[in-house]
Amino acid sequence: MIQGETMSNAECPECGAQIAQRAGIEVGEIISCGDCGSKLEVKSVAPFGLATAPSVEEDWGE
Amino acid sequence: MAYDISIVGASGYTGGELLRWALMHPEMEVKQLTSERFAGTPVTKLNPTLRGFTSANFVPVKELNTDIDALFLCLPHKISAGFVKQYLETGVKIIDLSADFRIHDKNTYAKYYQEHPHPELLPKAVYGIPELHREEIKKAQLVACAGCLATSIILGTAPLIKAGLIDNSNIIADSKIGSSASGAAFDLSTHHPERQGTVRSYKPSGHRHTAEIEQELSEIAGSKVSVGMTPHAVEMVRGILSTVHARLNTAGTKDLDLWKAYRSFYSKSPFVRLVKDKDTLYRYPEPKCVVGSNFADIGFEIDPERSRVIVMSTIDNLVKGSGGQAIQNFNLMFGLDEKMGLWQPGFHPL
Repeated sequence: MIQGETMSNAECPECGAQIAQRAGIEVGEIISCGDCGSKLEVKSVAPFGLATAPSVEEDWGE
Repeated sequence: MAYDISIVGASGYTGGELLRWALMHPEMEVKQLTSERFAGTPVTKLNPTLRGFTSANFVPVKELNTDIDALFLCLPHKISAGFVKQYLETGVKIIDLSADFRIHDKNTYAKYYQEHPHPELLPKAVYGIPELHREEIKKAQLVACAGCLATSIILGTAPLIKAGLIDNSNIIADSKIGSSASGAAFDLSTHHPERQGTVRSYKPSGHRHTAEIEQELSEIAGSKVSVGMTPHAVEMVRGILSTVHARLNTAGTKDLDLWKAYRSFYSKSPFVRLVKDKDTLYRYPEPKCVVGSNFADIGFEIDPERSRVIVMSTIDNLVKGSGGQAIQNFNLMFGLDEKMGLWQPGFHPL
């Protein structure tokens, strides 16, 4: 975080839990919601924004 | 300032569990523990885990001194009512763990139990689930602690009814319960060769707790709520897992709607934990995670194909289902922090 920048919360899109922005968190990181366990992707840091992370897609190389 | 308390009928499992918490409570001074059968016997003979915590002996109830602040009654129904009648007049605050004052309506009580010996006292009692009646309990002289099965089912279902999310006319609750719920007295059904390994439906319909479940949920709904409840005795000593099934009122109801309903209802309730976690072995509530604690763990799942919700609610029947909830009620009645003396997790692994 840049000095003086306010850390904020974002809402889990799955369960509505408030998730605090951790210092140094970066766009693209995958985090877990502490309440529902959903995998969430950090979409933005200022403001802090989250989206449900895409499921791992299988590619069998066909 | 410590409050003086005594327990009448302290030799059963409920009384023993209540005593365990009371001895560790920073604002409680345990004065007397009554038992007719075990009068003169050291309390630790029946409660070996309390060795080193008390040197008290059980006393007969005729020696009970009511110059105390609170009296806990851990007696069978009908017997408890007589003691309530006798001691209410002394001004002492009473926390009754029997069923005698849970039901507001004397006819409903008669239907599920027997004629009430003192129906004139029914209006004086507050139903003892703090998550539903916190403010009334603070002002009460008589609190009727809720039944253990009832506590698990009511806590799991109340937020959905309050939010108008489910069909109140056809709620089904299926409960699994440990052997300690049948008390310290024994008969053939609790004999080890008969009880070991059992999964026994012992009252498929018309269980007594149905009366208090429907009473409390109907009060929240403002109209009649119908609950069919079937308990099963299973291979546990402590613990209840109640699985509640209901139809959703609106197709397309989402997880987020239910999360909001539960969070809103329990925003001031420290002993209710919402458990619905995709990212752990313990994805839904399990008795193993609450045994030995005063927590109620509640989880849910929507079945979108059938527009149905399934709620899982678990408690320790001897703690949140009786002794712990009694202490929680005591804390409120005496203006103490609701969590005082109760704030500890269960064991893991167990």
